[in-house]
Amino acid sequence: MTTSTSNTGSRAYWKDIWVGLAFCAVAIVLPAFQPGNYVLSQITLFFIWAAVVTQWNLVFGVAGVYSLAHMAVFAVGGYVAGMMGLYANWNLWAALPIGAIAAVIASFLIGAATLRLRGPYVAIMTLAIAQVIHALIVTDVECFIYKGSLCLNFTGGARGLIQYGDFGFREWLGFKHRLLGDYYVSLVLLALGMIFALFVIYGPLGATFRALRDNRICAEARGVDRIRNQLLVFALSGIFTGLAGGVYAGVQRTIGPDILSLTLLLFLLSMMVVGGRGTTWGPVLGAGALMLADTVLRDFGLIRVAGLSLIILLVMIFLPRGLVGLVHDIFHWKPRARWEVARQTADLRQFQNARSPRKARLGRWMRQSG
Amino acid sequence: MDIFLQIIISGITLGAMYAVGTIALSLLWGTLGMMNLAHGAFIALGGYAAYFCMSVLGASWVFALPFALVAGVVAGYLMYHLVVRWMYERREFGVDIIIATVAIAALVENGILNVAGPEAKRQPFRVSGGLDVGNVVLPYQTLLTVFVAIVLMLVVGAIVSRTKLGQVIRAVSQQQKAAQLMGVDVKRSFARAMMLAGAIAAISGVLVTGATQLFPAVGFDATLKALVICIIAGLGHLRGAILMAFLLGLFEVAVQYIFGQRFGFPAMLALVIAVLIVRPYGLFGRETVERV
Repeated sequence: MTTSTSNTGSRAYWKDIWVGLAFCAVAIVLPAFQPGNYVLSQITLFFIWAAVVTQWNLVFGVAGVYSLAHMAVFAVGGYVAGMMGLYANWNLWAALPIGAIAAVIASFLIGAATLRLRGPYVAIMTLAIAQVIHALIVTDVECFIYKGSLCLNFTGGARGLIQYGDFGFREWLGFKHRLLGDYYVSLVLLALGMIFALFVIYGPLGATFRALRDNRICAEARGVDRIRNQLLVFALSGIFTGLAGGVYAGVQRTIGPDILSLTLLLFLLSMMVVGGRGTTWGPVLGAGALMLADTVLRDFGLIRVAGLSLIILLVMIFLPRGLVGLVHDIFHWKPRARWEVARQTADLRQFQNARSPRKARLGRWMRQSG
Repeated sequence: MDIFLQIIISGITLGAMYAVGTIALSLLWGTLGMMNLAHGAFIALGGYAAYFCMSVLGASWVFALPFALVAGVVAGYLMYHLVVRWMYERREFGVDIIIATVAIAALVENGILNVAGPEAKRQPFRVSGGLDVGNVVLPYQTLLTVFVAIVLMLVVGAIVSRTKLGQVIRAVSQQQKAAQLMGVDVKRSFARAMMLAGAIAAISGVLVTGATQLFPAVGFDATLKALVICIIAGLGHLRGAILMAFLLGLFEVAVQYIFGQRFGFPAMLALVIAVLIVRPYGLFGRETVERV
């Protein structure tokens, strides 16, 4: 699982920087080719999802705390940003940091609630927390404020929040180019989130998280404070997830409970799984692959979810390290002698036979005669 | 007093549904160490199998349960051989299988949606009427569900403790390598455990959908709640899980009555989280020793 994150030498560091710069360069010049509004908005969505999955990967892949409540953190960021616009009439730009702070708090609380649980227990409890938040929003029917004669719920209910404003690109860039504004805001979000994730992964914190993930007891015996680090990784991953929620709210101009639906959770989870858990570029690669697959599957609306689930299952079975693992294997592929294969499979007799057949033959002859 | 009685009866109804769910989940956790989030898909599969048998084929109600049972066994067999056996030896099996089973749940749900349509159906295999207790009606379906839950619990308990299959399952769950060295076919015993779990899930699916309604996503929420109940009881502790199912069912109904419908599950989850902070291995679970 730790393909590119384990070797923290300076070469790996530079490789990531070059990959990131190349990605950004392509992304910056891409709109110049006029790809059309649909493609542009799909890529915008890809940036947002990639940013979310990158942060999720810090918790799920790097720290090994199997939280499935990350979309709830994202939702808190988006909802709080939307509510600040709707109820306090704040500009969305100003509401973004508030949403991020709320998301950090929510993420911290989820981390605290699952502090004493381990492994699969965490996954079930966090999934239950996310489902509860979803159910509470959907069943919210009490009137919070009235807009004219229209009754608005506090959370927007099943319909979601609307009319809280957006980033104002329509006024600045004109109706025609407003999508470009959304595109670049999302790109900046992804780039900043990626830089943040790189700092965490390559820094001492990342080493601590990985140590706790790979062997909790050894790490604790060496004096690593697990409680502090779990709370820290949850809070850290909340920052850019909350910001991504706010950006999503601004780009979509509406935010509803379907961002907490199981389908979307599965979609983002498959991005991480397909890309490669715990790897640096896995989330971005996976997000790209899944957005492509989703665009293709959209034409077959009925079996879209089935297609996604099949992709997850196939990747889980055949590529447990994800696409990044596959790319790593391809780049590091070298034809191996038979004795090397035998050594890895720990078949000693085969090993001996392949390495020096004469001695092995001698051994066999001695066994047979003696 | 009537309200009190009504709460108790509704709580028992809900608890019975959770209890049948926890049996198969505990079985799979105890043997393979897997949390089966596709349990809900098996529930839906069983419900639709009974529906198909009675409404589409027009067979008598006698065949509904056996038909669902066969469907569950086949589903368990397929799930083991198509998915679980390829992932079992991995280090991160516990989490990998959660992801995989969520995907299976979505796959089956989507399949049922496309084949049978999204609309809620009425389960033909149901008992109507009820028993008058004071001014409150205790539906026969509830009694049947409670009865079947207890029977299933006894049957699973007998299979695990008395039969050869149970012996193999216990041996494998305690010491997989040692069991293998003694000549136990581990893969086959896993496949059998999954078939058993599939059968239980499918039968409980027929009963649960008889009390509520039949729609593609019918099982998922119940599965999640049943898993939460398993966790608070201590995973793998079957009797504790069934006790907790009834207690939490009562608690949920009481909260629903006092604070409103929507706060039932949130209150239950908050209670569970509070308990787990004090006792992370569940109320009846024991702390396991972990080797470095």
